[in-house]
Amino acid sequence: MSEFNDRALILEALDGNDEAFQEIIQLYHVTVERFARQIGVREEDLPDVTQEVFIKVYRFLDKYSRGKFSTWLYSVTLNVAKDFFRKQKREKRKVEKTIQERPVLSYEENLDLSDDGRILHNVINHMDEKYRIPIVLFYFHDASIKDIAAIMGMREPTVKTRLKRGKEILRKKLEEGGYEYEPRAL
Amino acid sequence: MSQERFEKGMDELKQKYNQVQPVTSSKEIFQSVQQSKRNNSMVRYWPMLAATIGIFVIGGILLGSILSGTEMGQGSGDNPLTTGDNGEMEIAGSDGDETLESENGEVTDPNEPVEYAVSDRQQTLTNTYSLEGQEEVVTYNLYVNEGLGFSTYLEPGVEVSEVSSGEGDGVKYTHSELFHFTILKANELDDSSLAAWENSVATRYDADGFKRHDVGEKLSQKADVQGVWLSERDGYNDLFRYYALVEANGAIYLVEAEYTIEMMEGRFPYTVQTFVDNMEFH
Repeated sequence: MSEFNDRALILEALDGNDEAFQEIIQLYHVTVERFARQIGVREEDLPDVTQEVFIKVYRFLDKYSRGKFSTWLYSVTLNVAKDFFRKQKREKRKVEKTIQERPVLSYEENLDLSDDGRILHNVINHMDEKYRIPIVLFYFHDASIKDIAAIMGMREPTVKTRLKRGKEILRKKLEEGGYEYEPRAL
Repeated sequence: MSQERFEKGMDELKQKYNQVQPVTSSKEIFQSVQQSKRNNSMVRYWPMLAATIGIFVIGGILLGSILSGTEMGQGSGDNPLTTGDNGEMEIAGSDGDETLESENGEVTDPNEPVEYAVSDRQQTLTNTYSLEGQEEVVTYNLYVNEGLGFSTYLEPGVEVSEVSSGEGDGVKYTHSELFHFTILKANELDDSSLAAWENSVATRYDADGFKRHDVGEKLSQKADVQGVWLSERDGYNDLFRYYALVEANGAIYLVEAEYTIEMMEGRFPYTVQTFVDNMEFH
């Protein structure tokens, strides 16, 4: 999807054209869902998080004025996911001792990964968010350093450092044969 | 070899991730957006609806009063004045509005700033300042933001707009081109402590060319952490930046303001100070 087409759709949506906004959802909801999953949103929470992202996009569309739409969309997704994790933490603390947790649905069983793929997948799922988010954006969403800096609200040299460090961790774990951990959110 | 193996593994992961079937449907997302739009529309029109209902109720009371006065044949000359007074009080008063507003509060999207009273706090706050030898009285209005979970006092005429960044979601308050300030409900850092946030703010200010300035006194009594930074351009300090971090209910709020040195003499620093010092969290 080109930036030009994005802008045309946004202008139409701002003009009250619901079909244009529906097209924006069609074009981007899978990307939003995928990114949310990759940064730690649980499978059963993905529909809520994705919906919340587009509700925010709809409400704040008139405030979006510059930069790539996809960059802004990633930034909104990141914020919604972080809000979700915070709420989850609070709720978890409340019910921790009284209610047994629901089983976590996993998409991983169907990934059919090679040994190396599985190691990298597990390590990424356990990485600190400061490395995980740049790695996910750079390797799985083709985001540039500049885009990642805009999405995460930080300077480009910081992103470069974190990417480098994240990559070092991944390569090291790959050479060591990886390790097994429980998946964690941000 | 290690690099090649790594790249190959990452390519495989990307490919496999992209093959995962989506669990969301664009149709359902669109429906939820439409639902949210309807809810917001209701919130937007409720004050109008409330006013209309109020007018009918007052009209009914007025009419009933006139009719009963006429029927009873007592002091009919006084009735219009009495009912007229009551009518004005009803329209201008706060009781009816408050009921509807609190109902609005329940259905409002939590991210929507709600600029009316939902708490027991007084509607206005008046402060007197001595500015450049002149006394200036400033009246602030109660401002409630349910989305971010706080209320405080804000100068009338300030434009309110939502902002979102990597650091969190928040609100920008614009008084003029020269003066604005923001509040963010901060996203969690690796270490979600005030010290970690202060460090993050300091790193950003430093990168923007500002130097920490020792003001010698606390500007806000409410802030857990606060600081003043000055930009140094050609040896002349031309910009002033203030930040305050307030921790409440497990969340961290970051208030930031930037204005020229000349404006420090005016009332704007008080606007920010009043905003921070009167923050209450819900």
